[in-house]
Amino acid sequence: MDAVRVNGIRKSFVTLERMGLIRRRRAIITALSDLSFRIRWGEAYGLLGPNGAGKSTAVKILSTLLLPDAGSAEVNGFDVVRQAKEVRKSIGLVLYPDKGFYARLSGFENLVYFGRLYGLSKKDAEHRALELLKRLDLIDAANRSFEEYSLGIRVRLSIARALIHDPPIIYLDEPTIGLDPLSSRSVRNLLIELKRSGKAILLTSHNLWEVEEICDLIGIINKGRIIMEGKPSDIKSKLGLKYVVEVDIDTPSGSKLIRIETKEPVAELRRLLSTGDKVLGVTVKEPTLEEAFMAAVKDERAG
Amino acid sequence: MSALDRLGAVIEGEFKIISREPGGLALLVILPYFVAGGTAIIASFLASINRYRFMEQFIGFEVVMLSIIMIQTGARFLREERNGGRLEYLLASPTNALLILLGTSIVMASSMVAAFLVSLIPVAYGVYGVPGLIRSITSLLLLFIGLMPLYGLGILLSGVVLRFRESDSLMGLITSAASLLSGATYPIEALPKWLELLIRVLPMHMLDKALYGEVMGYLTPSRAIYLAVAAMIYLSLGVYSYGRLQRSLLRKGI
Repeated sequence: MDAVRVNGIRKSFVTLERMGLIRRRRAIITALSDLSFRIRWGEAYGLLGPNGAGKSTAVKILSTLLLPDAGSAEVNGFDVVRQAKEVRKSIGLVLYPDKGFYARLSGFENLVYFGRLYGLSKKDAEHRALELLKRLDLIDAANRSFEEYSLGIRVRLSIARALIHDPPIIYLDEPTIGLDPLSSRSVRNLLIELKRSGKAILLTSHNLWEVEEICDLIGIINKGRIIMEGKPSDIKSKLGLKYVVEVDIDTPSGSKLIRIETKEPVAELRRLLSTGDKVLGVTVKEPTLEEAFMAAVKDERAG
Repeated sequence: MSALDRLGAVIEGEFKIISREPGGLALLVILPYFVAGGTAIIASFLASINRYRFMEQFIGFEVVMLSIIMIQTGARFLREERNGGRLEYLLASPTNALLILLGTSIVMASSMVAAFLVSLIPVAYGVYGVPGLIRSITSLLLLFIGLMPLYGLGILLSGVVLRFRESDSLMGLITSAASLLSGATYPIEALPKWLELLIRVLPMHMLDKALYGEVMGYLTPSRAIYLAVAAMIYLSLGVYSYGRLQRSLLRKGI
């Protein structure tokens, strides 16, 4: 059984477009068209896409916050429409990392409150809240009001809330937005640790290097459907992105840098090294996921 | 964990939040004195005002004020949760949203009952002595029951408020309508028949009459029964309306 299985989900919204001062026209916006993907246990799946591609709609449908028009989705073996309550028990959610808490309650009180809504007893919720506050390095801020928290603390508290009932599946929508490098790293390490413990993770982020570091599988979504899916390295090779090979060689007139863009870095490097010149240094730059993402979305738009 | 435990969690959380914002409760205690006192002073230029008339006005304004707050509670809660980014988290939890709404309404109603008691005790004692003091305490149960249909009415209206972009303006309109249709500070018999009937169907007028009757020592059982029946009807309508609202939110997005 997969942790998450999405089969041909479709979702459209009816909106009203202004046609002047008073007149309005009905317009239908297709948010998802035939979206399908699956996440296995112990796997982190990165959902990437430009703004308005349908990432948040997908996360909301999988969280039972939105009903699909067609298609089906199962989370932890439960149908998102017919078994919504079981789905809710199975997931931890980070939607707006800096919002969604009661300003007048402390971080600890907020965590205990949400823990109890997830069915924990008061004692268990308090115990778990303290454990998570320690784990996310929030214990010093535990008893201060949420309204006094910095963005970094709010984001980490949001992640703590997603973990309060120890769910097997976690959805994170832009979880490290606004975090400083140190906090981002600690969140990334936590997510990798959770993945290793067998939890399934669905992550959307604009930090593509972060997605590359955490996710085992990536789906690039555009206009409501997955246009490319695979491991980060597979996606790069599918798109035929070029590596940059730089070799610094010693010549009688001084050092000379040879820079070659190639799809076959190993063969190219072998060829350069076989010339017999004295090599001072070698650098191979892998294409980034950002380049892959740009290429995939551009191809889709051109197509 | 049972639904009762979850309800307890909501009530505890709400009480903590309210206790950290005491300004509103203090206003609830003080304001009726200013409004009823001010009205009495103005009216004294035109007619003879005695302490019983002041008492009637005092309870009338209390009912108007508490009715407005109670009607707004459901819609305000949903709107604040949505604007604060909490509504998604609440709806994504396995706890039924109606249970959360019930918990918040219990806290709001209890806070208002407490404020009403603090506010009423000096007036009731001043006008009716010790019996008035005792009856003002027994009237609290009546007030609590009487606030429930208003909460149901509020949930009924919350669907409209959430769909309307200018929700603040709409809330203002509802507030004004609730004040006018309370029938708590003027004789409704002077109104056209259809309007009088509408006011009698709404729970505010009957709550006012029941509270005043109880404090005076003349509560008729029919008024208490009316409030209990109205609580059941309006709460049922509210629950039905909220079910439709939630389905609509799930279809259209929050």
